[in-house]
This record gives sequence, structure tokens and C-alpha cells, in this order.
Amino acid sequence: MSSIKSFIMRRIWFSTLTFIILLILNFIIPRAMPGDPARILVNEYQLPMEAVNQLKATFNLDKSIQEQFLAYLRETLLHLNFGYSYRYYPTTVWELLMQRLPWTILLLGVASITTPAFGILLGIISGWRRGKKTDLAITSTSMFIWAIPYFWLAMVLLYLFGYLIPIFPLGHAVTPGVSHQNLFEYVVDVLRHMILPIIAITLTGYASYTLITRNAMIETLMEDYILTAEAKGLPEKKIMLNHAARNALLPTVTMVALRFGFIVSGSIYTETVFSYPGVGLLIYEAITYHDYPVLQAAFFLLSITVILANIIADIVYLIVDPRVKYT
Amino acid sequence: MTKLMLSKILENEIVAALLNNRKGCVGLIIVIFFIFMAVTADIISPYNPWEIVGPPYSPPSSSHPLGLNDIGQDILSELIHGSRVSLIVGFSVAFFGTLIGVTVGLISGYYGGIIDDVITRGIDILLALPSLPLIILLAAYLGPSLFNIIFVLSIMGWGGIARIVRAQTLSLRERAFVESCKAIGMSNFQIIFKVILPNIFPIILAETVLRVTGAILSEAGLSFLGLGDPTKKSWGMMLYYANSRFAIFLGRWEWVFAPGFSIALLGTAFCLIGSALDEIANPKIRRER
Amino acid sequence: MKMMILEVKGLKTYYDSRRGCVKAVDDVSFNLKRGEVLGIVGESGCGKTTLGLSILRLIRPPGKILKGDVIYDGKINIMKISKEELRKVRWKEISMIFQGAMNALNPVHKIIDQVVEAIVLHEGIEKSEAVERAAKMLQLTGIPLDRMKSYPFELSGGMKQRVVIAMALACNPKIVIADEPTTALDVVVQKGIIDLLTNLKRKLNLSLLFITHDPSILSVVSDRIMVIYAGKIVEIGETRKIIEKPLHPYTQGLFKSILLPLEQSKELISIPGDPPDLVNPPSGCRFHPRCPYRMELCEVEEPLPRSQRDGIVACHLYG
Repeated sequence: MSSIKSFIMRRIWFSTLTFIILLILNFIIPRAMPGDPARILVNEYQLPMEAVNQLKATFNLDKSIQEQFLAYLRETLLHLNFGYSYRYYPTTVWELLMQRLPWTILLLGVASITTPAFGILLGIISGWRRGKKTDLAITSTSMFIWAIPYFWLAMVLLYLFGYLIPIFPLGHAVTPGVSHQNLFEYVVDVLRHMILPIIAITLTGYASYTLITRNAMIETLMEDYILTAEAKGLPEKKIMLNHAARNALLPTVTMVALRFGFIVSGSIYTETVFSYPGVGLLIYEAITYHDYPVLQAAFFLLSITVILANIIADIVYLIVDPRVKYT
Repeated sequence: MTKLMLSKILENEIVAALLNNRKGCVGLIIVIFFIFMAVTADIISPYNPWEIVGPPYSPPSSSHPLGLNDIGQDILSELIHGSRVSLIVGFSVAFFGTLIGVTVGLISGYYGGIIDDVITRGIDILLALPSLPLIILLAAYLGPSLFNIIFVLSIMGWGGIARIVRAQTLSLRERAFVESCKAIGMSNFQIIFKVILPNIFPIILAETVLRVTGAILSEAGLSFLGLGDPTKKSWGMMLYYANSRFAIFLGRWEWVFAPGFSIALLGTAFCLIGSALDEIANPKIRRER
Repeated sequence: MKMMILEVKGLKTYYDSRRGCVKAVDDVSFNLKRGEVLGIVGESGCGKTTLGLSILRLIRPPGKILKGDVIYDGKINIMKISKEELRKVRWKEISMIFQGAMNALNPVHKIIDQVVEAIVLHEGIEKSEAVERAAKMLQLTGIPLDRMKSYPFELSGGMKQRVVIAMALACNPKIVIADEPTTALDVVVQKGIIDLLTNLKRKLNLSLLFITHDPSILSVVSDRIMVIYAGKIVEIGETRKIIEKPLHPYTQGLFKSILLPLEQSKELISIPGDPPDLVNPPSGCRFHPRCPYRMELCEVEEPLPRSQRDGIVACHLYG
């Protein structure tokens, strides 16, 4: 039992370390960069001087580095105060994020299920039928799709199924300007808008799952217990799923969460192409409009999400593999 | 003298093996095609890509096979010139990333001990940080320039190769012939760079080539988000404008298709070469007859 | 009821390897009588395991069964039936105890589930009933009730072997192919396993193909012994006769190289020379390079199996 505890302790320690590095980076980068934020504020946004002074105060540039850092920690961790958005002043960054976050969570939530599911399924089949046509087809298309830039795939999908053959809407999360009669209609509208983005994210992200699962399957299939299963007279599908996949998936599970960061990046591009009003689009706009506080906060938020996802993956792995409990 | 001959033979072996491998051949041909395109861009490009040659959003015609963009520049010319940025960034990032990664990996794997522990932990953290948000942050602050992009991508991208090199170095370090080198009196420096490095070279080569694909895709991604260098024509920037100037809604799909397809093609080509090199370098993966 | 529950005729299984074509089973023919234990003995790498796997058509690429017939119960030719029918024969009629039981069990399934799986598949009964039967089988092989929900890695080597045996017997097969069921176990555990097998064989009226590289075991276990060398049969005969007076020079070498109890006066003899290369086996009689009685004929012509005192010998000394 203690080995589980020590395993979790190690993971938490590592994640905490990463988190601390994150905090430090988040602190250093804006302050180490060339250029005076005040100048941007005045030139680009034509903000009045009181606003500039207020914003400057958030940086505490007159105080010492240690005091700045402490202030930064206090504001960020205790008060979740990420400052004000340059573009939407006086809206705080936190408000902005909270507005956009739900959509992204929805999108990422679904995508983080569809992408591994699709990839793993293809990996199982392709590993099971190694060397045959199915395998070659799956592996070569996956390799090609891996090299396709995600946003381009999204654009192509949007063009094909949004413009050329208008099955799906041309963007956004819900049809703008329409008020819905009831919840059901609303949900349907949301789903219709989600389909293309989800397909885009899934297609761009599935290939690595397929590759890892395929390799794991090939290795597993050489094990003796697969021969036993065959000798028992079990049908092919049962051997493939219950015996081979069940074992091959163990390393894949860890991979699922590690690749979560990838799904997150994928969503940034997808939201941009589909004008999907989530955190990703917010980031895109922040880049275009030099809204640095938003960028910083988004970076911070995304990083925490990825770290948490990694911890969850480790815990899931513990549950799934009975052997880990005793090593 | 012998080292020169040795490296020549090594190179030739690899090249020969590559040419034998069908995947590698196809990839090599595509890459050479694009390199040719990049080098002769000024000559073969029908127009100066920065010159306004017609009304914006013009559809394809005989004089402009891909049409014109939102300002009125010839898209085909943009495409041809764009190959330069992709190739330069791809090679540079892979090169510098490998340089850093290999050095760190060699040191960490060879010396072991506390140095190794610290470095490994550092690499773990580097790889645990979500790269895209961090890259975006850095690139946004540093400003849009080719140099900055290469810089950011390089420092974020050396972790993977460092790990591989470290693992290889660790296993090689224990082998008998390294021990005998020490016994002869070779310095650590000599052992690392003259004995261990040549042995892991094939694997490094395979990994580096695969990383070129990643670099090309990353550059395209960053440019697409608006972090690219506006003073250079790149495929990513073309897509940035295509997206933000509503090419799709105006039916100008060639503007979207051409740069994206080029990225995918070039990326796949390096992938093929890298995969072929992987097979050559790592006999375990080689397919059974 | 036919006497022969298994007839193997002209079985050939070759492997494609980097060095060439490995002729692991090269034209092997023999019979298994109902209710008997036929011991199959030979050096490591002589093709015994391949033979066992071939009977159930469990050979995967790069191996291939080139020709041969395996007739079960006088009716079913295993080599010719469809995949569907084969799946019905496997385990239910003929089951197998694999070499290295450690790895034959799926690490992520509980041991009782693995036994239940076979029962549910072949006996068409309810899961709850299957669990009962599985538990009884496991008890029969000596697994205590409180360990039945364990995972394989929680069990010792000997216990894992017992699970594998229970699993093999779960569907009441007529034939069990036991491939080195006692290798990698220590001697005390070995005896336990052998006793278990002999008891179960009597109780359940099994026919057993007992494959091993250790001749001393066969002396207590088998009714008849079949000796394999370099993919070919060199001798078949009743156990007692083979032990008292082995005919083929290789058999002589094999059985003289063990010390039978009560026979300590005999010298220990080992067989000189190297194991044969199955890619390029020696010409003529494959044993001739190591045979103390080798004649000129032996290098040139392969000796055919001939009937000899209720058994078979393939040697130029006898015909």
C-alpha cells in the first residue's frame, strides 16, 4: 500500500515543481522583455494617463524585485487577480477568461474523449492486422495526416462542409442572433456547431495514439498468453480486445493525459479557424491586439490544466494496472 | 585523416541505405524538389511576390494560376518564395535543437551522478510544460521576426533528443570498449566526442530529420496565429492572411489549399526520410523479410 | 470406439528464419492410444514443442505447417477442418499445457476468470455455473479457495502451473498436450505436479502427450515413449522396454545419461558432439555424426522407421 502512496507523492512533488517553474516563468517573461508596456498602452490603446498609472501599479515597477514577486504571488494565487485586459479595459482578465472558458471546456472535453478513442481503436486494429492491407492503409494515412498542419485541416473541413456543401455552420458556437425556443433546440444548435471543430481536432490528434497503441499491440501479441487464448479456441475479436488490447492499452493510458497538452494546442488553432468563442480564440485575439495580460493568464491557465491532466493520468494508470500496486 | 575517411564512409553508407529504402527515396525526392524551389525562387517565380499585380481576391487565371490575395499579390509567387522560410526554419530549428540536445544528453548520460539527476529533472519539466502556450507567450513578447521564431522553437524543442541521447550514452558508457578507451588514457572529452558520439550518430540523424517536420509545422502554426515574420513570405503567413481575410467565404480556396498542402507535403517528406533512417539505424524496427 | 484417439501422419512444419529454412518437424508419424500417456522426449530445440503446437494448428508465421494429417478420434482431420470447427476442437477435445506456465496466464485477468472463460466458451452454461465448475477444478489441482481471485503475479511458479493445468482440464478434453509442464520448477514441486497429472489422468480418463527433454521423468509417467532427434522420430516403444533395452543409439545415449534409482552401478554416459543444425541437417541419418555405431551407409541413406518389437526404430542397425 505504501508504494502507491510514495508513487503519488513523487508525482505530486514533480507537478508542484513544474508549477513553481511555471509561476516563475510567468513572472519573469513579461518583465524581462524589451519594450515599455506603458508605451504600448498609450500608443495602441490611447488610454488616459490614470488608466496607465493604474496598470503600471499592477506591475509595481517602483518596488524591488522581491516585493514585486511576492505581490505577484499574492495576487495570482490568493486573489486570482490577473490584472486588466488592455483591449477590454476595465474588464479584468479573469472575467474575460470565465466568459470564454465554458466553451473551451466543452470542446476540449469532447475532443479529449474522441481523439484517444478513435486513435486507440485504429491502433488496435492496425496492430492486430500487422503487415496486412488494413495496417498499411491506416499507418500510411496516419503518417500523412500527422504532417498536415491542424489549422489547415480545419480550414479545409470548413470549406468543404461549411461552404461548398453547406451541411454545417460556418463557425461560432451557436447561430448568432437567434434566440432558441427551448433547451433542446439550443443543445442541437450547439452540437451542430461543434461537429466540424471536433472532427478537426480528432483528425489532427489521433495519429500518435494509433502509433503507440499499434506498437504496444504488436509487442503484446508476441506474449505467450495470447497463444494460450488462441489455443483455448477463443474467437478472434475476443482475443484482440479482451486479451491483447487490455494489456497493450496500459502504456497508452499514460499517454492519453500526456498528449492532453497537444489537444489543448489543437483547440487554439481550431477555435481560431471556426471563430469558436473559447479561450483559444481569446488567445488569438490577444496576440493580434497585443493584449499581454490576457496572454499571460491564458498561458498560466492552460499550463495548470495540463499538469492536472497528467496527475489524473497517473492515478488512472494506478487503477487500471493491478501490477503497479505491488511494485 | 582516418576520422575524415571514416565519416565519409559512414555518410556514404547511410546515403546508400537511404536510397535503397523506398520511403526514404520518395521523401528525398520531395525535399530536393522544394530545396530547388527555394534556391531558384527569384528565377522561377512568375512575379515578385511583394508586387501588387492586380485586383484583390482575383480568381485563378492563366497568368495567375492560383489567383491573387487580399492585397493583389500573386499567390503562386508567394508560394514559391514561402518554401525558403519553411526550409530555413525547419533546418535551423532542427540543427540548433539537436546541437543543444545532443550536448546536454551526452554530458548528462556520460557523467551521471548529480549532474545527470539535475539535468534529467530539468528535461522532464521542460517536456511537462505545455509548449504551445509558452511558445506563444515568448514569441508574442519577443516580437515577430524569423530569428525570434527560430530561437523560441529551438530552446523549446531540444528536450526529446536530449533524452534519447542520454539513454544511448548511458548504455554505451557501460560497454567494454569505452572502458578500454579509458584504460588507454583518453580524456573524457575525447571519449565523448570521438567514441560515443559517432556511435549514436545514426539515431541522432534519424531524430533530427523527424524534428524538421515538427519545426516546419510549428513555424506554420505560429505564423498562422499572427506571430510570424511579416517581412518574409511564408506558407504559415499566407494561411494567416487567408484565414483572417476570409478567403473561404469568398470562395478563394486555392489560397487556402496551396500553402497548406505544401506544408503537409514537405512535412511528410521529412517524416518519410526520418522513418527510413530510423529503420536503418534501429535494426529492431526493420521489417522481417 | 476406436483405439487410436490421435493419428499423426507425415507432419511437416518448417520455419523461415534468417539463416534459412528450419525443418523443425520433418515427416513425423505416430499414434496416441486412448487413455495412454505417450512421452515425447528429445534435446532442446529438436522440434518437440513445434510438434505439440502443430497438432492444434497453432503455428504462426514465420512457421508453416507444410503437410500432414492429424486425425482425431478417427473422424476429424484437424488439418483440414475450417477455422470455426477448429475453434470447437481446441480446448474442448484437445487442450494444451504450455511450456513456461509463468507467461501463459494473462497478467491482467484473475486466475479464476481465465478458467471460467474457457468453460463459458465451450460448455455453453451460465456464468455462475461456470464459476462453480472452475472453482472445483482449481481445488482439484490444489489451489486454495482464498487464492482463486488472485492475479497471476501473486502466485508462485508451482501454483501458476497448477492453474494452467486446471485451465487445460476445465472443459474435460480427451487429449491433453503437456509441453514441459515441470521445467523451471524445483524438484519437490516437480514431483507434486507429476503426481497431480497422473492422478488426474486416471480420474478423468485422459490421453496425455507428455513432452519433455528430461528422460527421467518419463520413466515414471509414460506408458510409451517416443524419441525425437533433429525433427525426426528415431524410436517409439513401451516405456519399460525402452528403459531396459533401448534400441536406437541416441535413445541409448539419452537413457544411459540418467541415473535410474536402484541402478547406481551403471556409468554416466553423455552423448558426444553438438546438437544438429535444423537448417542444414546432416546427410543420411541425422544422428550419424554422433553415433558410436556409425557405418558408411548411415552417412548416405536416411533410415526409415521400421516396426520392431511392438514399436518403431529408425536405424540401419535394425534392418
